[in-house]
Amino acid sequence: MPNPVSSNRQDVDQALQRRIIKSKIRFTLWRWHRRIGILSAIFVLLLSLTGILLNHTNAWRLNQASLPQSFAAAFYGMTPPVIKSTSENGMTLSQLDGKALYFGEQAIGTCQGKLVGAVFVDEIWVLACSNEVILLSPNGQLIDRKSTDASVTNIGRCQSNVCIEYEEDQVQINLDTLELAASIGHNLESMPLQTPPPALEAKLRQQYGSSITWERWIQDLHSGRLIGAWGVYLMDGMAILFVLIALSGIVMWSLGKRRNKR
Amino acid sequence: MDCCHKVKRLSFCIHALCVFLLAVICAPSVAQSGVFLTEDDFYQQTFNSQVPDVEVLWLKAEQKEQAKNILGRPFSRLRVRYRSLNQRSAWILEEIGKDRPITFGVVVDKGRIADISVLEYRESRGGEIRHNFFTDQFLGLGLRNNQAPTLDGRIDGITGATLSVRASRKIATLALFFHQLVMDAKPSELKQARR
Repeated sequence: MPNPVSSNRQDVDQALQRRIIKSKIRFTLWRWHRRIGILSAIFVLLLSLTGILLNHTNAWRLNQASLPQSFAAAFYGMTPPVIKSTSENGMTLSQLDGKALYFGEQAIGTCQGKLVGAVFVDEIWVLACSNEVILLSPNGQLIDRKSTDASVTNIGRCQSNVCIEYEEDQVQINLDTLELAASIGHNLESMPLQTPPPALEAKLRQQYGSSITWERWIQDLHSGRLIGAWGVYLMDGMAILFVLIALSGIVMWSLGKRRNKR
Repeated sequence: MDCCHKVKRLSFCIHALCVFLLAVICAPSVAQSGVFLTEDDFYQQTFNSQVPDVEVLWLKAEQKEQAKNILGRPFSRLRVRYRSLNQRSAWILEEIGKDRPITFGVVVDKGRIADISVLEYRESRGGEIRHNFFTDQFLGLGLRNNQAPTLDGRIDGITGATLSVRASRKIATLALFFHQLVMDAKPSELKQARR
């Protein structure tokens, strides 16, 4: 016949063992929960703050506000843009980094290819880019534009007309119809491309940095991309730690609840 | 042996199916973009080889505003080039589909669309608009002069080409509007001094 006293004692011992094990688990979890928490605290703060900002980019106009040129250079490796300009009649036409066109300080869009040159004739600006001819009014309004089949290498005055040159051909442009007619190989009077006046150059460089917005920068900071591919892995690692914090917290709470019930 | 043969056949079928699916998926995206008609060919077929000279329509402020209402965006140019013979005019106009411009050629005859062609398509999808089953819908349509001029007929869209269809509607309307300006204007006003 089993001894009821020793049987009870065994139950008590087993219960005590289980309690000790659970305490050890809770203690271990608590220790690691604290370590992970300390390790990831700064990232929690960072992600929370950037998350709040990203939720309100429209209201706070972060999607319109431009990043300073120095930030753009530091974080995105943006080198100062190459500016090619031509000036006549007191006005300067510029192209930044082979893309954005400026009439003075006013952005007027882009053209197909790099700026080759421009002439001012009969109160009209005639610009040539590698694959396009553009006509502008004296105040920079777009009059007309036409793509070219071949690459333009030069533009200039040819007697009283405007001519453009391809690799081996020269053609005359009819400014009314933008039709091209064969030319007999005049010497073109072209204005060379150069850097713009210093004051204008500084203003154009400042404007060009505006392609990156604060919203973009905050998104890259939030995702970790700001420090490259490793930044993304770092954020992924932090996210895993956050999951571990949450799970360990739930388990500890659960174990503590059962203990309190006893 | 029979089992091995079956496995080999199954493996072959799977490989063949993969190649077929790959071809089906890739082929449409490759075939979408391209130049389908040059400007010269467009004018040749429009005017039966008797191509008239280029003319220029200078736009007044209120006309640019109407063009803006049609396109839903500012019309940046001060003038538009076209060719016309009698009551027939031909326009080459561009409008952005999703990201890239689509070049259209539109022929208007006596105030109705006689032809609309996609001269160049630059997107990776939506190029179905160049086919006759779509462009034939525009034939015979005219302009309804509302606050913002619209086509006086309905155009059925194409699934997966919504933005290209929208661009083609805008360009057809714009061409009709420009044609109306040309035909209404006195000849002396058409080639006015440059601004």
